[in-house]
Amino acid sequence: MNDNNPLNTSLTRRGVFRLGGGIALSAGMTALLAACTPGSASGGGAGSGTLTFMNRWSDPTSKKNAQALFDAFTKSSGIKVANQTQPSSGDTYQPAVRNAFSSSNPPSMATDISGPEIYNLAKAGVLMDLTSIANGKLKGRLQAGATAGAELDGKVWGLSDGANVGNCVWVNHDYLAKYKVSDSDVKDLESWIAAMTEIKKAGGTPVVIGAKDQWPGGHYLNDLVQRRLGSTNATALYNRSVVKGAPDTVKWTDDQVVKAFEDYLLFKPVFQDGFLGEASATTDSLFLSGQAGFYEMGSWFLSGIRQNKPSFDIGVLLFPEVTGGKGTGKEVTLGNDTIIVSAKADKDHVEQFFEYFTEPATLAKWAGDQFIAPPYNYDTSKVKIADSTLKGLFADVNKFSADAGPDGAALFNDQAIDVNIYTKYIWQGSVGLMSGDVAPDQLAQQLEDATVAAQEKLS
Amino acid sequence: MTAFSITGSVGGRDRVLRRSRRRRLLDGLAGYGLIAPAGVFYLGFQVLPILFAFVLSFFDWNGINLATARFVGFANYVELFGDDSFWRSVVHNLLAVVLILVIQCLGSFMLAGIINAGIRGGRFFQLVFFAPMVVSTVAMGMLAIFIFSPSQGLLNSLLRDMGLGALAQPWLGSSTWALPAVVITAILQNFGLSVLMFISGLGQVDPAMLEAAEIDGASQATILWRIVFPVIRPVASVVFLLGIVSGFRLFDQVYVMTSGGPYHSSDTIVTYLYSIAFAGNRVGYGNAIGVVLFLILLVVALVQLRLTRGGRAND
Repeated sequence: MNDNNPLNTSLTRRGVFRLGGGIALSAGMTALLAACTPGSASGGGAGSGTLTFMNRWSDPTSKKNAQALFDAFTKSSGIKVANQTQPSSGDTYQPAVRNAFSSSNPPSMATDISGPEIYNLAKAGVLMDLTSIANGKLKGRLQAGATAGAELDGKVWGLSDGANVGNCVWVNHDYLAKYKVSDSDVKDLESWIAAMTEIKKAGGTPVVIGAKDQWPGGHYLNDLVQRRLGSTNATALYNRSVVKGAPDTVKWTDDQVVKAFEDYLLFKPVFQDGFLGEASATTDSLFLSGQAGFYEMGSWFLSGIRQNKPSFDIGVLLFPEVTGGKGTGKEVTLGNDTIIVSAKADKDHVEQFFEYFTEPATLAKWAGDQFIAPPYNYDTSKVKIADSTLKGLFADVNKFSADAGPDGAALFNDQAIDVNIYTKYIWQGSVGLMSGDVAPDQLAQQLEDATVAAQEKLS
Repeated sequence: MTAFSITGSVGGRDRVLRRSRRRRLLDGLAGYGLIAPAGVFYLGFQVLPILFAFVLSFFDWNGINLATARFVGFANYVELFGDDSFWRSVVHNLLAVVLILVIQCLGSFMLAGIINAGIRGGRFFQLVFFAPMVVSTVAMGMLAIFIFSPSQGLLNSLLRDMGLGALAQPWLGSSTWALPAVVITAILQNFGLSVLMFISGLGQVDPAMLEAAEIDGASQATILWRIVFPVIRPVASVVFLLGIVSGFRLFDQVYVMTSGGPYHSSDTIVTYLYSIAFAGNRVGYGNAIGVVLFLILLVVALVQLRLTRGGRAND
């Protein structure tokens, strides 16, 4: 054979091509098969001997707290927990949970907001029924709210990892003093608006809101509707969009709801200049840097206070009552965070985790670390918070919950209402009301129409 | 011997033919093997999802368990054509396209002309305008939020410092200004690429022809229309097509800067699609929106192609 023969050269080149092509084909097919094989990914998916825990505890402190919880559980049980932290944004986290649970290799457990998100996953058959766990060893540990927004068709599909109080108003005492106003003057909505008007007249900034992000305005609509209707009626109204056959005893077009939307317009003159275009991250920093008197934000704001401790005397109020409203004025809005479990997870491991998590010592540490109130039995005096200001504020928030009474809590509107309705009409509508693009009665009618359509679809 | 030779010759030709056929077959297989990895990924991540999206647009599905999907025929399309929010989004996209075509395409052409004329520091400006292109759209959107912030933003501060405080706005919270603010951010990001493309197009114009036209007394407008434009037509077509497509695909900046607000005044087709399909669990309806967007872009691309071909034929 002559090496200079062109035929030989050609064959050699082809051989190389064939070999390369064959390898590439094999590699491609192997990758494809690996990608398609259920549970083949590393990291210990459901049932692999390791619990994978997807969560949105992504800020450095929360991430550290969660890892400490998981490490302590591993030490106690020998079961490892893979911490799958995701970015905290509600816009991206909830879809991420849905995608994860619709995949062939879902995480064993995940935190999710209570309400329709969990109902949808339960209806799709991807969640583990936790009824036997809740009614078994955990039964004596649960308090009201432990399964709020996670019960469907008489079954339990999730257990709370803690609740936040949503309708808090944070106060800068020093700023108020500068304008000769005191938070003790705030008895109800009218006196609050009157106090803020005084500050505004004197050239101050009474209250800040990041209205551009839409959900902060949704908070006000939530607070005012709850004050106007009371918790039971507010829940009945919200349930109409997600619970099949929910009665229409309360409608969005009812007087009290329309009045609640009108109440929101009372804030327009007292919000900071340009509030419609401001982001909530900016208003967080405006308030914490002492540039406003009041700030409506849920109790999770304690984490923000921990990270950027203000130099002024800070306090917290419950959103004031509304004269003429049917509520008691003491109701709290709960932002319940719930742990859901994949139908494919190892039930024994999951049960062990919940048993460990609901032990009083674990809960006391978790509550102090995360500034949340886990709705289980534990000794709150054992909650350790080193900083005295934070400790006092956390105690105030817990007192709001205790004072609300057994029927005094309602889920946040953006946890209780169908997602297509709250994003389109409540979040966007809160800005539309302020910009004048929609009137209170128009918004109420749009919400009612959307709710009726949602109920028809459910039926 | 002769017969044997002939038979042997025929057999030899058959062997050669068989070998040649086998070689072609092996070559073909090798070729397929080489393109297989890319082909598998293209099929798996491009073609199949597109087909799947078409199919899903006829279903009601919450995106979690495919077994729960329900066939609804054309119901999603019927609902879509009566959906005011969708049509409002289409109008916003059309406005975005107009703004992009006017500001980005014409503006970048003018700037390319100035830089191409050899002004001092031309390279520097080229770099300055191209810089945002290498920044991620999300980062650009976050930066824009700070620029447009009513209390701490650069724009309002600038206006106040210039004595034009009356013009200060809550830009991203204004029904009038939110969409333009978002579109301008998107334009700033893509402006540099358009400038570069026009510069490359203008570089193909023969200076001798320009000189000859000037000597013959042609006006600047005539030179532009009769000499420059025919040369840069292919580049201009691409810039305009990219502008139209980017106007219809507008998402990142809207999502980061306004989330479609205030009160849907900056919603675009893709943000609406996202809110329906991903935030709202209505994957079937979301796919119907996606299919309609695909058809709109297909028509735009075909019209553009036709115009470009027509232009070439005329040339």
